[in-house]
Amino acid sequence: MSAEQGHVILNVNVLDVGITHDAWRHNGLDRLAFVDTAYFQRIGTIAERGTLDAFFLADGPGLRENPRHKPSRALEPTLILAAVAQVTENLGLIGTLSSTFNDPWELAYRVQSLDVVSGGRAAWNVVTTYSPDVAGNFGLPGLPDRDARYRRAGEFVDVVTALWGTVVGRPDVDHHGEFFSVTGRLPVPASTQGHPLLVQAGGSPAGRELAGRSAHAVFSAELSLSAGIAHHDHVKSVARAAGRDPAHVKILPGLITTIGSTQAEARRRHEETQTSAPDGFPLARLAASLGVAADDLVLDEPLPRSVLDGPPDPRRFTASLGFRESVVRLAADENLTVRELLANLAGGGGHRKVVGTPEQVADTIEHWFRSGAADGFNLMPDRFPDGLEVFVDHVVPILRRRGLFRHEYEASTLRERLAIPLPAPAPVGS
Amino acid sequence: MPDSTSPEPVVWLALTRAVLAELLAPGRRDTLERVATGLDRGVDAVVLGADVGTRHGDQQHAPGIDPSIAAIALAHRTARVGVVVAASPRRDHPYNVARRLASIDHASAGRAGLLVGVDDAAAAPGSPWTAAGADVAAADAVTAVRELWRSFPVDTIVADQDRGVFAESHRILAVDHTGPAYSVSGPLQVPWSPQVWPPVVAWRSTGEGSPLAAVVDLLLDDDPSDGIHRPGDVAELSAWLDAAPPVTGRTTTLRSRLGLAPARPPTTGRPAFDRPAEGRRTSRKEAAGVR
Repeated sequence: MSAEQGHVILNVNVLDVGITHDAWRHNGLDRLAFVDTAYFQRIGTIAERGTLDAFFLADGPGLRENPRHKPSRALEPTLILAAVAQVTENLGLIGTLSSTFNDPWELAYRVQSLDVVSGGRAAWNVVTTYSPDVAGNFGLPGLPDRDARYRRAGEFVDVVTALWGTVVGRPDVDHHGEFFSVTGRLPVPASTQGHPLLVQAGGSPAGRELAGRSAHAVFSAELSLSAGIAHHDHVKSVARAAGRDPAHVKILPGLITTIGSTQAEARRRHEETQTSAPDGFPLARLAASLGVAADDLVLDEPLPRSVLDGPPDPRRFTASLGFRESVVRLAADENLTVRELLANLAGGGGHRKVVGTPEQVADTIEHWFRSGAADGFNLMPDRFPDGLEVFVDHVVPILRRRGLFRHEYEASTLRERLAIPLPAPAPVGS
Repeated sequence: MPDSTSPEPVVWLALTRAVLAELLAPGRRDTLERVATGLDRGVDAVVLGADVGTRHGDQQHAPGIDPSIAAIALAHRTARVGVVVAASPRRDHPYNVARRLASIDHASAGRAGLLVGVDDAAAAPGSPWTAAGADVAAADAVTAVRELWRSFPVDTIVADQDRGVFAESHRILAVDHTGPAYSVSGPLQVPWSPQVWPPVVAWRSTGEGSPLAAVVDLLLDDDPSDGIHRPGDVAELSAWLDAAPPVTGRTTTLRSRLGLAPARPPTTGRPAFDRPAEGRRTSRKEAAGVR
């Protein structure tokens, strides 16, 4: 077992109204639920009822996908989380913010503020943002290449971490680097947990290095158990090499769930989504994640040799390297045709998916946890709110009976719950 | 009591980030509830982050709370008072400012406002986004922010079950803003908030005579001798609210409370997404949202 107390860590990744493209057509929500903080508060309340560890929000600062067929993230994550904090007491609050399209002083100030008002429940999920469409919103002609993004991310994380350190009594910042010059202290109080935790998402080699060196949790994309174990061990070994306790970086792959009271019911719910996909939508998404044109993929043939033989030149590849690796590995390991691969992925990008009963979902969680592939999961229900409700009401009790999950919150700060120590000196009077 | 046709002076209050930190500290929920009730009763609009961009007042940089985070906490507990969030776009990029203000306007049902601070003395100096002068950047940011706010008409979201169309995205507009300080392509990812264009204000001490004054909806007095009340701590805030006479008027948008007409932004511009051809199946490129 890989986590303290033998408990699996469970976050919910609130992808607006659900990860499936047609969630909005089935869940009976108002069409504007995705811009309603009361909707997100309701989801937070359900998650807290299930004693989940944290509420997670993905993000990119731009309209990255044509909203013709589905809603996508609109409201700014730290503000959604601030709203959820008003109606919850224990739920962790993890917001994704881009290191390419924020300023480190402003970000450190705002996320520390969220941590204070939530009573020590905040974490920052650092991403470098891989969408070229976003760059234009910030006056950049194109996205900086991956090397530059990760150099900036590394320095950005150093600056933010150093600024957060000043709120708990560590020395003033005196940073003069390639991208930033920052001196002084962050004028925000210490929070109940001192300062926020750091999460990393992204499965490129540079991303895993960043995670091992500095993150407290990793949101990863894994399709196969063997890849999950390999990546888990890799990040832990980077942490060890950096002089850290490997237990202080938790590996949390995404897990897409479609749950039914019988397997047949779950399959029907899943197929309902598959058959209603807009023409060409899944194929075009797969092609985009592989960095090829949709016309390059033939449904009843395997992925083209040029794709399988990758990896591409990471400096020229503009999509997510982590998703790409995860998808290509699945296709190669199981010798899948494009059609079979699409059926396996079902709009989930590179994340593991379970379609089945609550028992089957609990089995997958337990198997990955006990095999050393995961310390927990970032849950991605097919639809909200019912996909989360069924998890909370039917999967969580099974995990509790198996001794894999808490019956009630044992600590209200995210730091205590994940057993991440605050580097000395400790906060005074918080 | 005056009716809605006789204009009443607008009652403003201004809270520094340090006062917000004291007010929103965990374990003070009773005080927060009382203050929230007092704000709804006796104040038309409260500035959050009164120390941002002013040349008067607190230069000590006592520990504070981010104004936009504070706005969400206060909007959750109030139903009436306007929440005016201070931001300095030299450090906080106009895209991010526009997005957060639109989010707060949604969360407060149309009670958000933006106070543009030319600079933030508490922050690390300079700007990561622009080499333009502070005055020019502040004014350009206001133009860019308003363009972003109008780019995604909320009535494009049709959620048409039969056609499987969530948004008529061909009516979403690119921004294509190229100003002296910022270039912003747009569109904003947040559909129109209730006010579409939340009021934009600036302090008189930094705004008057500057390019910023020409683009804001209102200048606020920040001279301590005749300016807006600015309590130094929560005790002073509570005492002031207890003594404040109730303000009149119905629960409404901040624009209307400030006497501004409802926003009627133009809906013309370059479409950000192609219009799907009639009677033709959705193309792969369009279906995947690849632009």
